[in-house]
Order: sequence, then structure tokens, then C-alpha cells
Amino acid sequence: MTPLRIISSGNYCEPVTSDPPELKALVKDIVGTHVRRIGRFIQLALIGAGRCAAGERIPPDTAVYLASARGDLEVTLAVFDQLFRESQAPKPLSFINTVSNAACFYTAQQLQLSSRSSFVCNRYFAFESALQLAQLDLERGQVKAALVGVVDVVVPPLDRHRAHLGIAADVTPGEASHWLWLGDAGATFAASDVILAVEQHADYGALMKWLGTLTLTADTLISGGQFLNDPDLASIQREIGVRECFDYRSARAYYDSQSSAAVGDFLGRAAAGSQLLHINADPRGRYSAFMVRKGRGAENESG
Amino acid sequence: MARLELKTLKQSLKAMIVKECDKDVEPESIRDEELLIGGALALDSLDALQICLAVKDQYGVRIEGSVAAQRALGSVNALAATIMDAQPD
Repeated sequence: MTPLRIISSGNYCEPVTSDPPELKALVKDIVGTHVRRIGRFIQLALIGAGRCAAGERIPPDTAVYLASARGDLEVTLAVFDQLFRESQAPKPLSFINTVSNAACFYTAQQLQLSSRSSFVCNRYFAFESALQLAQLDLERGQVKAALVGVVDVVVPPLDRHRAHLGIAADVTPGEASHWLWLGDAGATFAASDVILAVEQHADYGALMKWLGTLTLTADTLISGGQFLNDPDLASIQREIGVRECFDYRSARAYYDSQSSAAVGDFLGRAAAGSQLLHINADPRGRYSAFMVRKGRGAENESG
Repeated sequence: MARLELKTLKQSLKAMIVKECDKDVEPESIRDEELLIGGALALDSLDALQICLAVKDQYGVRIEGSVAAQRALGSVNALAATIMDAQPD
């Protein structure tokens, strides 16, 4: 594939141990105005995307690709509770925001973007799916730049939220919004941080066949997504001869789309010129992978 | 409804409007006679629907149809009058 330049990245990622913090003031601080009629999911999208833009004027023809494993869980649960537990009509403002693409609308509106926007809901490969969609559109010249993000929201009570996520009582859930601003690498390839590959494979054999085609430098690191078990990661690492693992998850609160944090963490911590191969899996035995390279001359921040 | 209750009702309605429509203003900054929809508050038809549902939930008063909604949401005074008129004697 044609490498994609990572123009900037930005994120919000916080563990939640009691009620999630109020975000209104932070949104107002970042976008410069009070955005009304939005819930936490959209607030998180605006915070992450705003930090990614970091005060720069993103070109209006930039497309928005937002992914989430479960969408706007907060308004969806509120509307379902109102409908089925309380047998009442849902509030209009809650109801319209159950359309998850509402977050794309507000993001595009606040950043004054007028290109296409897409919302992708994928339980195991949320970030990877949005990234691949953006990559395909960029490669085919359908868009000139892309803003790719994921958002995961915590909905109290925490016990219920943990049950939704299928995590143990001692695991701390978190809220996250990770964003990348991507464009064509072009002549800046060597200096820039780049996405080198985005792949999805139907099974282990197909993944290994693809991995066999890669030229992995000595300073390539490997990381496993949260749905790839450790023995499988170790096996892949051994087979392709990558010496070192990159850990971005062990100190992180739990949310569905942790893969998205790998890019920002890697760019923030890795040496110039090094590469990260990230592999994730789903319970049906499918695999998703992406490769990132830290540019030699870039001074990007991880947001 | 006594005079003091009317004043309390209007204060409650202003707080409800600010909360339901997620406006970044102080409730007391809304004037009793101020136009709610299409006025300085910049509320729209979605806000109108939200307010009507909140009035039904909190006061048990249904505001049905666009003519009734337009009349009731003319101002805080009009909304309070709509609620008071619907109270049993």
C-alpha cells in the first residue's frame, strides 16, 4: 500500500474509578465554544479530534472516520431504559444521538470539515477497520486527507459497565478518544511518521503468509492487541524473528479500542526510524495488523 | 395557583429550559416575556419538543400540536400559564 503520513495525533485517555469526570469545560476549552445537546461520546470525540488538530486549521476536504466497539453506549442505554424499563418515549435529544454518526457530524462541524464522514462499529477491530477504510479511500484518491479516530465511553454504574465489557471486578475501565490526522506521505516519506501497512486476514495462515512478505528491520518492535492472546503473540514473534515487544497496554485502563493507543504511544516513545508491527485477533480467528514507522526527521507529538 | 407559586413555577421552568436544552446561560437571565423559540435564546424545534416532553414528565401537562406548542412556548409567561390552566380547580 501507499504509506500514509501521520500529520499529527491527539488523544484523551483516562481511567474511571468512580463517576466519570465532567467534560463540558474541557470541550469548551478545546473547541472554543459551548457545544450544546451532546453527550459524553460526542464530547470525547471533540476532545480527541481537537487535540489532534492542535490549533491547526485542518483542510476542509479532510474526511472523518470514527470507530467504536459499542457506539454511543450512554445515550443508547438511556433510550433503552426509558423505552423498556420506564415505558416512556425517549427524550428527543437522546434519541437523535443514538445515531452514532452524530459524533462525526459534530466533529466535522467544529473543525469546519465538509468532506465525507463514516462511522464504523466493530467490536474487536474498531480502530483497525476505520484505519483501513481511510487507507483505501486515500489510496484510491477519493479523499486527500483523513481524520481517523476511535471513542470508547464509560457508562456508570461501573459494575454494569464491567459486565458489558466482560471484564473482572478488579479491572479499571477507561474512557478514550484517540485520533490520527493522515495524509499522503509523498516526498516527505523518510522524514515523516507513517502508516506502512494496514491489513486484515481471514485466518492465521493468511496472516503468516503476509508477514512472510515483509522486510522487518532490526529495530522493528511487535505489539499485540488486547484480543490476541499472549501465546499467539509469542508464537508470531518467534516465527518472524522480531526481538522486542512494545508494551502500551499493561498500565492502561481497559476499553474496547486499545489498539488505537499503540500508534500514539509508539510515536511518543520510539527511536527515530524504528517500526512497530501491531497484530490483533478476534474470537473467530481473524487477524488485523498495521505497521507504523517513526520518521527520522519528524517532531510529531503523541497528543 | 397563588402569586408566590407562579413566581416559583417560572423559576423552575427557566431552570428546566436551561437544563433540557443544554443552554450555557443562567436561568435567571431568561426574561419572563422573552420569545423562547426563534428569539435571543436561539432555541429550535428540537428544543421545543424536548421542553414539551419535560413539561409532560414534570407537570403532567400535554402540549400537543404545533399551534398549542407555538402558543405555550411563546415565553416563560405563556408556558407557566399553560401549566396553570391545565391544573384541576
